[in-house]
Amino acid sequence: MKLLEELVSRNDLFLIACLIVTYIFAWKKPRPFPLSIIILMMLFSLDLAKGLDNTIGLEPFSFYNTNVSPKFDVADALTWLLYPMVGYMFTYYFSRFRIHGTMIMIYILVCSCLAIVFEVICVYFDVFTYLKWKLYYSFCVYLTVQTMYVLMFTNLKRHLVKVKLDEKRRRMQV
Amino acid sequence: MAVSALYAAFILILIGFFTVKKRLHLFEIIFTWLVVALVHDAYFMYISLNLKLAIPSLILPNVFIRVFYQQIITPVIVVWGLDGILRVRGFLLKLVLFVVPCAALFGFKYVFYYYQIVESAHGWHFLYASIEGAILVLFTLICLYLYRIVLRKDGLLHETP
Repeated sequence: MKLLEELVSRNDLFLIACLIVTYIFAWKKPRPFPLSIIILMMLFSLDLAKGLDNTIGLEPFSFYNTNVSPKFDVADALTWLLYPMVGYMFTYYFSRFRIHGTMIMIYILVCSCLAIVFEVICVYFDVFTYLKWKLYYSFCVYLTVQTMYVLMFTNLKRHLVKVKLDEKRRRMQV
Repeated sequence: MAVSALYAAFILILIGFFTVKKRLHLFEIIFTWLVVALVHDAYFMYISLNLKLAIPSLILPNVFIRVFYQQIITPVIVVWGLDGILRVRGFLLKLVLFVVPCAALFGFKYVFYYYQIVESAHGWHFLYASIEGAILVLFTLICLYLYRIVLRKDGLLHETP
């Protein structure tokens, strides 16, 4: 009964809706890069997000709570499933639109603005509860985090291309 | 003083980790690092927030050391341990190299409890933490084996497990 009461709260319903949308997106769209890189980017996204939540979201900082309670509950488990998909969507479009050079700066700026809009909606649905946090702090955080995504993804892709080229050269020699 | 000594130990471990050649593929290292950081973080959050069995210190240098340990040093120890386990042949040797990272994690945990960087609540015996490291290493090893299947399918891994 208590689990059902938790599941029908605003933040849970909103998170479930977001999960449905993002997982349908991931299922429908073709994979632009290998599954091994997708897994790494998803884990990286989740790790960054939870690392921040469990550092500046807890004592002695306590800038905000994820969901209403500071404790780990069902809604937190749902955010665990959402963060990787957000990271995947970011890298999907980064790869799909072949973003490079100066476009990277514009892409990160646009995605940070979209992330701010999404965060405002999340705050409205009690996915985040601000204690000492301000929305404009989030913009700086998104700029940093998304830059790290781009760095991680470009390095992984570069390594993948290098490995494939080395293998091709080895086969040609044989 | 304890914080400075711990920080110095962490830096030496990091230097050792980045200078020693490893057999694991770069993707495996990153995967293992991320899994360990995530699992360890989630576990600590659960026992400190929900169960209130661990009480982290609120002093800023202690917080920094704890976060640095959770996000960087624990993954380094586990990755290094797994690299050793996968490098050797023979069950006994693998078992010995399994114990090494578990002992290292237990040792650091003891230091944290001794210097009150993390305190244990009443009713929670510190020795219960001894199996945490073993479970973490074992869980990460299983995840790594599963990830290796994905790497092999993507044509990135050519060595036998």
